[in-house]
Amino acid sequence: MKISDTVKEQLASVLEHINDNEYCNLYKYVPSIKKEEIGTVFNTIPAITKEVLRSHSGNLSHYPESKVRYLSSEFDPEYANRLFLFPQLLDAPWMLLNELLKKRDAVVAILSIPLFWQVGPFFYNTCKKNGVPMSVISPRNLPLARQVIKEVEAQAVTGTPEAADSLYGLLSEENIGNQIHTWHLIVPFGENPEIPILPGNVLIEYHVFPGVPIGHTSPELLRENPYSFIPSPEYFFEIDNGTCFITSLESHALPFIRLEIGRNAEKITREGKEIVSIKEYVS
Amino acid sequence: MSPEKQKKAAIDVLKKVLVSEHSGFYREKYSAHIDTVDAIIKGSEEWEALPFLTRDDIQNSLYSDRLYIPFNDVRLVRATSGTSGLGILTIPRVRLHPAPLFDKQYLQPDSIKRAVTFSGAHCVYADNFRKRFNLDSIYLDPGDVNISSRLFSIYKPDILFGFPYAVASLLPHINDKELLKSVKVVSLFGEWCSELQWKNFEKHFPNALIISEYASVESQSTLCGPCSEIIKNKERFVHPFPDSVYAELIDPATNSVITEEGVSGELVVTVLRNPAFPLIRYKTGDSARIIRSSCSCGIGTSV
Repeated sequence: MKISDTVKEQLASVLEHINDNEYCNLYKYVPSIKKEEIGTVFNTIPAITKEVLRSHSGNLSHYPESKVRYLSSEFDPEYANRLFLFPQLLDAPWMLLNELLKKRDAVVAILSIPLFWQVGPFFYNTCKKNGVPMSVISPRNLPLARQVIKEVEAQAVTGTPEAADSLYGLLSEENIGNQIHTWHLIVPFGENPEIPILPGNVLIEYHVFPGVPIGHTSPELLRENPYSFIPSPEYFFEIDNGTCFITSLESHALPFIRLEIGRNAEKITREGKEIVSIKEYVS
Repeated sequence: MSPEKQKKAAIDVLKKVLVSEHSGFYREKYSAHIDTVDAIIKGSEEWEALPFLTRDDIQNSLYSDRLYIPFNDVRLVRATSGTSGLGILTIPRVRLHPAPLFDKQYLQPDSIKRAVTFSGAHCVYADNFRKRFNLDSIYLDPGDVNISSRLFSIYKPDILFGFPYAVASLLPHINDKELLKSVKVVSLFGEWCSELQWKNFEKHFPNALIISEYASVESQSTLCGPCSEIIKNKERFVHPFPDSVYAELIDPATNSVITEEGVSGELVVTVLRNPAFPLIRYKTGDSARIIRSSCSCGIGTSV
């Protein structure tokens, strides 16, 4: 298996951290692997699925509680009965949002996603680091969001496609639809909602759990390559016989080690960028 | 801080807003009363002569005109129609250091690790709780009891912060009553908790300290809370935090200040530590009455 030296270093570091981790025994089955062996043995590590994470009865955080916050594991309240607490490091970076706020010089950012996802503090910290004021409005109260956007002249919205579509409609009623220059849409990985036609910069970010992004795409890229996305640099995307696994490359409170996310997968290069295409999702 | 010192602190807030380079909101508001305002600052006129700030004043002004700090120093913009339903207010907020006197001693013990809030400003709470008390927190949606009860059950919080109605709506959906017994503090705010509801909470949270605090989105922080004496006596009164607010009670019919115990009136607040948008003699629309004018904690008025 061909893995670059940089990625091998990163994988070795993650594997070292999970071996005999004092906080979590989720990965106790993973053998100790030397960096030089990673290329040959990495894909022999048993894969895990979301179901394995759900059914793990112990703590899932590989760091002490003082260093983590908790996200919801479910996007849909209909699945409340299987929801578990997904740990996230307090200083976890939201890379795409960071980039969007920096590049586009946003004045105010609005978050309009289901609040039970627990993503608010993550969003707040990212906005704070970038010196961008923010507001949180439940997608159940979009008229309030419209009023806030109008009054504070907000320019960036992070929301679900449905909320963004409805919000754009409300803003257009007052001729301020074009005030938003960045639409950052959060989509649960594996779902294919209709992406609304919105002005400005539109980015669709796929989250494998709420607050856990693994890639992004744009309406243009989706038109050319349905099922595809630009993978997040935080993960090693491995395609093995058409099955796609992701492994954390950075320090994550709950690192993924060969988490199976889809089948009928391949890597494509478009305009010098690596894109992952997955036609069959694993839920 | 004594009432005289609080009044002086309120006058200092007034002085600051009048010379602020960021906003002319109050200069414009007081433009027809400039002699009165000048006299108040000089001490030759009573504070009570200062015009009130109303909800209409806020709604009829632009957000950017009300900012007393640089635009990008704002951390969170809160929006509320409050309980009046009378249109929407947008209020800028920075992360404030809490009132030193009421330092939420009930959050100090090491046994308190996890909190749940029902507040839309949870992201700011989360930041504050973590930095000050190393306390983790999650948000519970009062509009979705299924998901909230599931989160409650697996998160097992030590402390709840929320509106009484939100806490009450969750209770029937928590099947494991042992979880309720392990809650150590229930901090209620946002609306008055009836006697019946209070007793309901005492019954469901038998091992919890139940307290009431007063806050509003406009004020950007908690303004009133219990001292250790009130908590010890299990009373339901609160003190206006002397370092945070200069509180007045007025007769809504005559706008005169009420000082007698037991007489109800409208709460008017001047928030002393509110850099983003200072509230000066703000008519909250909330009713209160003075329960007693002194307390053994030395703070004074309980409402």
